[in-house]
Amino acid sequence: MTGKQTLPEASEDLRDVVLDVHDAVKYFRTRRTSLRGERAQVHAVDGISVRLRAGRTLGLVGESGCGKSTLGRLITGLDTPTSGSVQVGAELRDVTAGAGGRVQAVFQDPASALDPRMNVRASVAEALGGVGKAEREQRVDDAFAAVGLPRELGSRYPHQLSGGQQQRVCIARALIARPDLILLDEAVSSLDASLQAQVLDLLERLQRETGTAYVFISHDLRAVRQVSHSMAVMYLGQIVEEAPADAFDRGLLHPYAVALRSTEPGIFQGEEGIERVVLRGEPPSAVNPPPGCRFAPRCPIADDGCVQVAPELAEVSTGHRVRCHKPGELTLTRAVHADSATSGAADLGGEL
Amino acid sequence: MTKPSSAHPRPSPPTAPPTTPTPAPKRSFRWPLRGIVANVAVFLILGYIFLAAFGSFLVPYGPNDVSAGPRLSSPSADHWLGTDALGRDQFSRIIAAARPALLSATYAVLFALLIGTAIGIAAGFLGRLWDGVLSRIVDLLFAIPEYLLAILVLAVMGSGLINASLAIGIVTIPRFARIARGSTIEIAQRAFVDAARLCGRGRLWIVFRHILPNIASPLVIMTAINLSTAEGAYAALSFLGFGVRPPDADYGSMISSSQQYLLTDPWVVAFPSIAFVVLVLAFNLLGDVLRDRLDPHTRTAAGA
Amino acid sequence: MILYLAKKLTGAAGVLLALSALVFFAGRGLVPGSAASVIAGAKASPETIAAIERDLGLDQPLYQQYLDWLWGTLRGDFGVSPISGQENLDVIAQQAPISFELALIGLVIAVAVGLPVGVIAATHSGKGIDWGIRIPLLVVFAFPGFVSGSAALYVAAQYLTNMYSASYIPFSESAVGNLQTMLLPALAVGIPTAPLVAQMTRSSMIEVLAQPHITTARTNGIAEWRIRYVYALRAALPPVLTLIGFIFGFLVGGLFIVEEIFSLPGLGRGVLDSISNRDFSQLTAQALVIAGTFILGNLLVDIALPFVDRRIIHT
Repeated sequence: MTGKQTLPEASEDLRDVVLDVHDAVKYFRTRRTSLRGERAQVHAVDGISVRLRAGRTLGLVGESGCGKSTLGRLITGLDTPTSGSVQVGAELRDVTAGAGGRVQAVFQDPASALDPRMNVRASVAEALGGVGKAEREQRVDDAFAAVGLPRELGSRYPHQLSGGQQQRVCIARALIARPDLILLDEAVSSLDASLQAQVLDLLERLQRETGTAYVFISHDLRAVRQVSHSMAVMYLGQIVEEAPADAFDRGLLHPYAVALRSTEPGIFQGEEGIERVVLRGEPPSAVNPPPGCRFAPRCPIADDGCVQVAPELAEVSTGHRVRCHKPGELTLTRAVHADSATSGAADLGGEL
Repeated sequence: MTKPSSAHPRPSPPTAPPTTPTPAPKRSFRWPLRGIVANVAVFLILGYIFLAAFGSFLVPYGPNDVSAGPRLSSPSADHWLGTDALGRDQFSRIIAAARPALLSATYAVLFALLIGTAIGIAAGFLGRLWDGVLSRIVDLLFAIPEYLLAILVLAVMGSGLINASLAIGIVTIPRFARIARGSTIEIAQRAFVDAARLCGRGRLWIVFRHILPNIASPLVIMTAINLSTAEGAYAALSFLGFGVRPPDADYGSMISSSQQYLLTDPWVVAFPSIAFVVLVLAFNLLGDVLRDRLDPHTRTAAGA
Repeated sequence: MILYLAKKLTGAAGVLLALSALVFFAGRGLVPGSAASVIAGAKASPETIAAIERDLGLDQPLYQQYLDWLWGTLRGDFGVSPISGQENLDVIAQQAPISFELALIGLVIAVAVGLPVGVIAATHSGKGIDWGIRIPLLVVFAFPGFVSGSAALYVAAQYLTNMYSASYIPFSESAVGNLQTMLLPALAVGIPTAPLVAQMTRSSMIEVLAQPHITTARTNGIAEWRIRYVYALRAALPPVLTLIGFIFGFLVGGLFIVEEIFSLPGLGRGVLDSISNRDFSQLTAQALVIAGTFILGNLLVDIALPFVDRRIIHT
């Protein structure tokens, strides 16, 4: 195993950092299903550390159930971590939901994110608690303008708006309190393709204007990649690879990240060499994660060592970290077919 | 306490309207009969309210005036609905009884609505510990037959209009608490509640601005339905002697005190019974119409 | 399954325990001041009252009295009423069978009338017949026990003189005579309950009839009567069963009134008599039996339900 230790060194530059997640862990207890049965714990988020600077976007991808939404709730302070810390803002204080409105969120389903009994203007103004009436009205007008909504729509109720308009209202609400960080939780997944593009453009423009940092959670690789400066791939509660955007495009090292990435060929032109990596089976249960590498049971190149020893997240180059015993053995252009499995992996091994 | 969703579609008994909070219905009513039923119900209820408010100016005799006429006389021009065993004018007494009937139901339901909704929202919104404790209490109340509980309460507190209303209110609390809790849990899961928290809004704001408006419609249905059951319960308690103190008029006590003359002079029982049944029926109709209109389940299922 | 049963059993046990405290303290609340003064009479001297208190253990702290009483009750000793001097258990043994018989026949009547009516209303939902049924149902529902009871009594006394007997005849004396006395009161309890059953059946059926598997059955050409009365009814019944506890509650309410009207010496009237006699000891025992039976009845339904519908245990 190569690379440095996971934990950032003390001397590391903390300027402009607005989100510092340090070894965050979140377990949930399951319900008992029989009298003698023990109450198991779901390891939804299991030791995640990430940092994000102002004006930047971190994309967070992974299968459903990998813990990315739980991580999102930790980042916003809607849930508190079982252990570890989540700090936000220029002063990096521990996050609590709503404190100062420093973290806002845009959720997947705008219809559920807006109170059906409240007109949308009131919904947008909700983040302006202590602000005087005149200023509040002005800022709501500004926010409507910023997201490209006509002012007249303000008196309408959510069901009188289209999905795209609803999502713009949500973005206006997230934006209006000038937060340091906005969580975009599947923020465009419920919109159709043309609207997605519009909303993504809007988000990028707003980020340039305000310098807000985004954490963009999605299962939709393409949408996330389009707006992100760096990408993190999650698997069963852990980050398996974190890479700057350019490394994500070509230089992925973790077999799972490669497999995931191979499902979306043609994000950029000239990707003809990509073969799709098909993974076998379902992800193992997050209730009792396997002791070794969590991906080993499905990994095309896993060996005995992978099954027994859990790999650490190690930095291979600046901003590029990977959690794998054999980083880079499986690459986008040199894919291993799932059915050739572990035996075939030996032939390909040993190069980076 | 029952979980908000279960494996089955649950039928709606008169006390269990949908827990599903619904957006404001924006439909026009397509079925004229419903309009007629609703109009009849509203007309009748307004009539009784009018009698309760202004009845004392309309009555031909004092309701408690024992020398208004001969005892147990048949309906006549002087006494339209006859007189009771003490010679009191039945027509006057029936009008006078509208007030305790309406007041008791209103007090009881308002009390249950306020306390039950508060308990339900607290259980559904304040988290597991509160939910556990409050749900146990509500379950306990619910596990005792309602009339027994009401009678025990009255045995301790003594009879009378206010006490009887309170007793009915207490036994009605669980119904409101369950509906409020189920609806609250459903609303609290919606993303707009998270968004409000992120906007720095406290629990009180969320409860009053987001949860209450969204659980209002099941609560309205519950209120309408329970007005009629409270009406019936009050009359029953009054029949058993727990209502307003004699000699004041009250449908239940009028019926019970005339019971012994049932076979010889049936109208002394019949007229107060009719007056009371019409009143309960009006509330029943109103509750039924409201449930049909506000409950998306029966509406879509009935294809209306 | 075992977990489900365990949950239900512990739940019922907990409710019973809390209930015992409730009825005990309600009984004590019945006699503000001292129970002993009620027993001794208004003119009793303070010494007499104190002696009675000592005798009955009323000078002990309330929680101690409760624990003593609870322990006695658990062993089946319901105590002796200091007011009437009778064994509470004897009194209940006389009263309870009457109320149970009344409730049971009432339930049978309510289901026998309500279920078919609900099914017919559901299958004709939205049409004239539906309202043609529902409005009379609502009218009947508006008749509380004391009105329908009075009406029944009047009709019986006027027209059915040879069928109806006004004074209570125990079952052990004459089965026919017993049924003669019980039928009318049972009707007075059952008929006002029938609309409740009908309404539950109706809404449950309507939901089932709107589900996809019914549509599938229709497109497969299965006879309409079969769909309605076999497929849909079978799916619609379990949810109605879950609400049977509610129906019990309604029946119990009817007992108080109907027993009063028909002068039946059952538990409902017993409770009212105990209240007017300030007989706290007997009242507590009676209330415990009524509520306890009610809770056990609900527990039985809970236990039976998974056999009707396995999905229940997972909720």
